[in-house]
Amino acid sequence: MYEILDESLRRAEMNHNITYAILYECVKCIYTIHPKSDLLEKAAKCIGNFVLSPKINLKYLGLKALTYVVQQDPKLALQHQMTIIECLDHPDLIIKRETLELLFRITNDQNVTVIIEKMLDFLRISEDDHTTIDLVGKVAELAEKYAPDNEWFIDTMNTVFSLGGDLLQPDIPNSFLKLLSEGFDSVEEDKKLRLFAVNSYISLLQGDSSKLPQRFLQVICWVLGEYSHLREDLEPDVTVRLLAKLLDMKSSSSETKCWVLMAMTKLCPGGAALALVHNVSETYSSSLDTMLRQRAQELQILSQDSELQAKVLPRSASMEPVEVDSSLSFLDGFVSEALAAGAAPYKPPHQRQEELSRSKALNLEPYGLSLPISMSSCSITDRQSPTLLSISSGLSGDSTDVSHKGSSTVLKLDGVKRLWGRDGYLAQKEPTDEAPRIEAASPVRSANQLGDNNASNSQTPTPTPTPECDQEKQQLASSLFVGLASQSSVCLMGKSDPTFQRFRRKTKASGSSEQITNPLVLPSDGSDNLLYKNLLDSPDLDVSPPEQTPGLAAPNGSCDAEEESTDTDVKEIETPPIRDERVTAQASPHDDPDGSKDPSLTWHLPAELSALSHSNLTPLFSKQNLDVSACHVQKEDSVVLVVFISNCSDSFLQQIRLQVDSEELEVSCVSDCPSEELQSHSVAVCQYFLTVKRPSVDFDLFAAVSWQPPAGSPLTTQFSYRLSLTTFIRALRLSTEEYGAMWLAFSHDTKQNLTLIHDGQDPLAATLDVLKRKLQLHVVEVIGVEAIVACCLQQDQPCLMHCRMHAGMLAVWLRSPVPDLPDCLLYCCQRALQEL
Amino acid sequence: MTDLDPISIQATRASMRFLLLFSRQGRLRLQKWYTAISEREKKKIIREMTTMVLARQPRTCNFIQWKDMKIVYKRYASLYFCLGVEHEENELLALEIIHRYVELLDKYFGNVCELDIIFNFEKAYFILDEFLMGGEIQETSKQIVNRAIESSDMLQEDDHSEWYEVELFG
Repeated sequence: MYEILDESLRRAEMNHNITYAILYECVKCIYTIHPKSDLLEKAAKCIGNFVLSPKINLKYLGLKALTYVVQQDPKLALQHQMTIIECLDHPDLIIKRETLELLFRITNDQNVTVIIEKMLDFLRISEDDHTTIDLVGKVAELAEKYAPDNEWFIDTMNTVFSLGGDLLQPDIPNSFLKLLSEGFDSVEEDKKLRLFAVNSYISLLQGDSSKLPQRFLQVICWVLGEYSHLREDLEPDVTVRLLAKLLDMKSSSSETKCWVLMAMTKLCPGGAALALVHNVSETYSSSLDTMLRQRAQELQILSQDSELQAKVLPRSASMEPVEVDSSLSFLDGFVSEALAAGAAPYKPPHQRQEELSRSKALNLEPYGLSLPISMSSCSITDRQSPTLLSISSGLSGDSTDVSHKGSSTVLKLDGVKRLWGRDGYLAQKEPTDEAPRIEAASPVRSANQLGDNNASNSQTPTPTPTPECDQEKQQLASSLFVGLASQSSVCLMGKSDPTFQRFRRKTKASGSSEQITNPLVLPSDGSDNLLYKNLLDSPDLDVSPPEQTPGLAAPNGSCDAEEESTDTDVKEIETPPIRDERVTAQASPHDDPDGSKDPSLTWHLPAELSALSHSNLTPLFSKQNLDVSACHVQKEDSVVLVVFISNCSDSFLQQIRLQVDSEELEVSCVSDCPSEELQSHSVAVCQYFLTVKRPSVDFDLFAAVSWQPPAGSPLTTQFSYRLSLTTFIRALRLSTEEYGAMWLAFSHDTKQNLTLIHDGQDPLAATLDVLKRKLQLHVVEVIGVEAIVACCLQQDQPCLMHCRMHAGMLAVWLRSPVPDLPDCLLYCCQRALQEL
Repeated sequence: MTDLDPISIQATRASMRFLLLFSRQGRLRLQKWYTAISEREKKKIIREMTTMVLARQPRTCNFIQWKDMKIVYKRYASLYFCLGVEHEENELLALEIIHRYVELLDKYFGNVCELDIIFNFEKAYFILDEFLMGGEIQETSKQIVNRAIESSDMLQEDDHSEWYEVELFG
């Protein structure tokens, strides 16, 4: 802080109002904080500059600063005393006043007289009430503190009273009187003081007293009443007459008159001016003012009874504490007499109040808090958005309302289009009817629906309402026509449908040992599926049946599968419903175009698995007489790894063991491979359930197979099988509300920008399409440029995605309760989009 | 009862209480109040201000101690700008506030004179409201205030053209 102040002080050289203002603040600050000597010096210099400045505003500020400073550093004032003196006589009253303020601060008993004199001068010319009050207070304070002698003090106080008039704060005369009455330690001093006061007042009263302010008069009365006996040469008579004069003055207020009467009462013993007193008391005992009447009565009675007077108003014991019997026991006799005579007993005030309230039968209880409990629970009770929580906490109610709180914590959110949450608009959770938006998104939706239906193996109906009928029709149409389109492309290649048919029939007929026939079929097959050929990485599809490259892209891909590209890792390509029909109709092979092994081996797939779509068969290795290949089948809630161990040799193999494990996957054996013998030309099928332990982009399975040829030692081979995350991803069918609820609950999230597929009119739809197909995501809803997507990793690990088209990119935001899942999924999305 | 503690009450007050503009003849041109007081009180204050400020000699201090607040005033040509500030406020700063307001007026009207303020008092109020709000300085940048006023002017102009079209078609 010191540096800043230093800097500010140094920098402010310019001639600008603002800099002076800053300087002033700096100076004030310097004198407020813990003192540092060089800063103080600089500040003092600064103040000096201000005070000496010809600009009057600065002078004013300088004086103010000095006032502030002088308590800590009186020498500073000393330095500039000449200036201050000049300021005292400055024509500008404001400056003068500031100077007086300053002087007030530096008063001590040496300069008090001068200062007070100046102040009183100022008071005389001051017209402003506030100033007067202020100054008068100051003068009184100073006088009390630093009075050099009695006379001066009394004089000053007299002046103060006369100047201050009735604006005086009540504590000033009170303290003055108290001072007089308490006096000093020495009795002599006291006496002197009082005497002097009395003298001055007498002279005042003898002069023209009509201009004296009331307060002053009251003070005079009191003093005279109390202490005029001190002046021996003064007859009480005289005093009484003087006081009576006051009574007659028109300007005397009734308060003053009370004081006067009181004073007279004190003075009257000794028969002073009896007649006068008598007159006065009679006059005032019929006055309308009760105080006056009381005083007058007192005067009358006490003037006649000097003994009583002496008891009640002792002369010299005015400051002794009066003992008061607060229970008023001396009245007990009176009270009991009255009660006996039938007077009503005394009712204390609260009792009276109660009776009053009871009699009037007014219900004076405050109204209870009646909150509008029309906050019925809305349809989205599950959604605990931050807004709801804050509203419910703001509902401060009586205890009676606590029971209502349960139902009223939820806002009525019907008809609310977008909700505001802590981080901004809550992502796409419209509870309202989506009809208009559906129409807008319907073409998009149709594609999505198509994808949805195909992506998941079950034919669950989509959750959206009636526009769905149209959607389904469209869906059917598109699927139908898709098939046609592919066929027509086949025709373009010069081959006709029958070729296709033939192929099918042939494979059906072939059975399990088709290793020979298939290669024949394959060339035509390959040409039929030229499209696939283009897509497939391996040109030698038709050449080597046993060894298939893993690059076969279209697994169950018949021609009528949609011709979108697939990536090398086999994912589920969505197939039209027709295909699904075919699934049920034909036990085998949608995988006809794939290599030779497939038809045979998938034939070996257990029934329930063969019905499901599965990946292509990956030959893992083939050694001597053993061919091992594997495929994975995606079921609804799990993935099954099927390993085919086929014995191609003519002899049987023994002791076949297969062991599969993986780091991130949980491998559980469904059906073990037969361990005894594997006949020649037979296939052993082993199934393993795979579940994800920890999400990762690719999962590697390590397996070892050992066998024993009939004439030889046991052999072991290891192989690995790679699965991508996408095989484990399933579409998660959610409604928008559920999505909303889940979205808020998940903590792990990741955000990224993905490239959009700028394909035709609707890049968002196209991109979503791709993602859906490749990753089995379920698009919950598409609104304008945003879409919400859901999927799950196996059964209980959902992942939600929110996509937004923005500046030519797709901004995606994934959320999931599973820690690494959003990142892995995001990577898969990226890969899916890149491989297009 | 700390609520009634006078010091804490003061602390919650904004720095400015009111701003008055009046001519040399004592005619009030602008008044802006930042505290809630009755009409009678306002009139009383206006009267006292005008008499007090107009009675001041030319080469005297610009700050007056009045009641429990300070009055900072400055004369620009024929207009007196009178700002009532709290006791603790820096007076030079108050002067600067007045000066800044005059600068803003000048920029907007171009060599502002009293007539400008008389005939476009609503604009003067708009500018003041952009600059000061609730008794405190709201915007210290001259350009931003000017831009805000200009844009609101443009809106007004657009509005007019629409009305014109409406009238054409009855």
